Amino acid sequence: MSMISLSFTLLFIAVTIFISMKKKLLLEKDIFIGTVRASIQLIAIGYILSYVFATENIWLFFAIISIMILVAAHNGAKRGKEFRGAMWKIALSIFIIEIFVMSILLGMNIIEPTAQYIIPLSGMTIGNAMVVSSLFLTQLKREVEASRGEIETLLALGANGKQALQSLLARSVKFSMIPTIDSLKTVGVVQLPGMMTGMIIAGASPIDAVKYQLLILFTHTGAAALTSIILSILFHKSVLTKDLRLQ
Amino acid sequence: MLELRNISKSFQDDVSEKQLFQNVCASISDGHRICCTGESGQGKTSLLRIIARLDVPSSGQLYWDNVEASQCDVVQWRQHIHYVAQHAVMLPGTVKDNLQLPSLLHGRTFQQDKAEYLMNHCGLHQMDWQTSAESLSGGEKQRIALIRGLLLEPKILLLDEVTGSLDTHNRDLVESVLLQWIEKTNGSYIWISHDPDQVKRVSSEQWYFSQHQVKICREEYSL
Repeated sequence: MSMISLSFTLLFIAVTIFISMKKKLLLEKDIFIGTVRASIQLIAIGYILSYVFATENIWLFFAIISIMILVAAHNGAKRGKEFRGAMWKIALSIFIIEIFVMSILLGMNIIEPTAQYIIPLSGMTIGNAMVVSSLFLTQLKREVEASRGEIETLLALGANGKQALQSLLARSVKFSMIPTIDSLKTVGVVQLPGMMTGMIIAGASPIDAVKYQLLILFTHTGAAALTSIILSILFHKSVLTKDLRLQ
Repeated sequence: MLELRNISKSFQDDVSEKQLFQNVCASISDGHRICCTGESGQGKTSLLRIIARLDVPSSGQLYWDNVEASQCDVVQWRQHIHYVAQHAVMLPGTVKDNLQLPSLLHGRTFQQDKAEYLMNHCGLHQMDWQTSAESLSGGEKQRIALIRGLLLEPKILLLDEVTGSLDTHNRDLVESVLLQWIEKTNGSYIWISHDPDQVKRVSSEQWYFSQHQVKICREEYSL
């Protein structure tokens, strides 16, 4: 696809801005900024990836993945400003997930140990873990507010921290898994996932594209469950004080 | 024996620091029947929550058998000193699930006979134990919460208007269950009540909350 034909797709943005102006939605500025940001970020990462793929520099590898984790953690932590150290807890859980996923994928020779595979798959894993973290924190906040009475009743009956928070954390874990489980159920019927579509358009055979998409889906499901379970362990102490009172 | 040494509580509102009560000193030994009275907003519930270690005092200390509270395991503390809230909260599940909760939490065998005895004597003999606890009326929840607390077998009960939602018949039943409990176990309670007649019936010591002070009177009324 040439840059000229790509630039024609800006017509879609122009239509959106036109509708926004006509209907007074006041979204023009946001759409314009979003379009410029997305273009710059994606073009930049395109050049960075081309460079990394060409050099295969391991330190650059780590730098890119570390930046991805930090940005994801920073973004995920926005949902849990009330919880102390939220960003570092999310960063730690995403880091563990990244190590876990890559160990399996590389250790079992499912993917080749090259930047071409590791970076895009890491990006998807980290992005997915970020969404799970955001959902987990959103639900945890709601649960703590809604279940104060329940938690205090258990504490008053001499429950320890784990017992008092068990069902609340389980509900938060379950909530954060909903999109992952839903997409597992409907993939291929309701939606063709972005990665698979991209591969088919780029010329890969649909069967190859499906294989990689399944790999992503299964990895994401396992990673989502693990992310939320690690988060539930790490955030357990953010809900209660040391002497088992609600914060 | 539980001791309160110079317990004070204040809190910060939008404008200034508000004092609830200052320098409360008291001791609660076996068989003590205490009632807390006074206008709303004087800190009665706060004091009970502090004693249950669900809240912290602004200053002062709690002692259990001369050991400062922070040196005692909070889980054990709350097994010995149990707070029954004014608005009873039922945990998800059935009435039976709620009654079994203390034994489940502490790995003990559920005392079915004791639970049945308490249910019968609190006017809940006709209740189906498989009923969803959430669907109960306010008065039923209050009694289940109290029975759940008694099944924990605490040494001190902190009762926050536990008969507030009950009719006079069931209120009398609950009062006699609690008086019998004291007689049998030599436990003690601190009971918040706004009913002067009830205070006379159930207490041997009264804590009056007024103007940031707690005045302690010992007046034994004939039971």
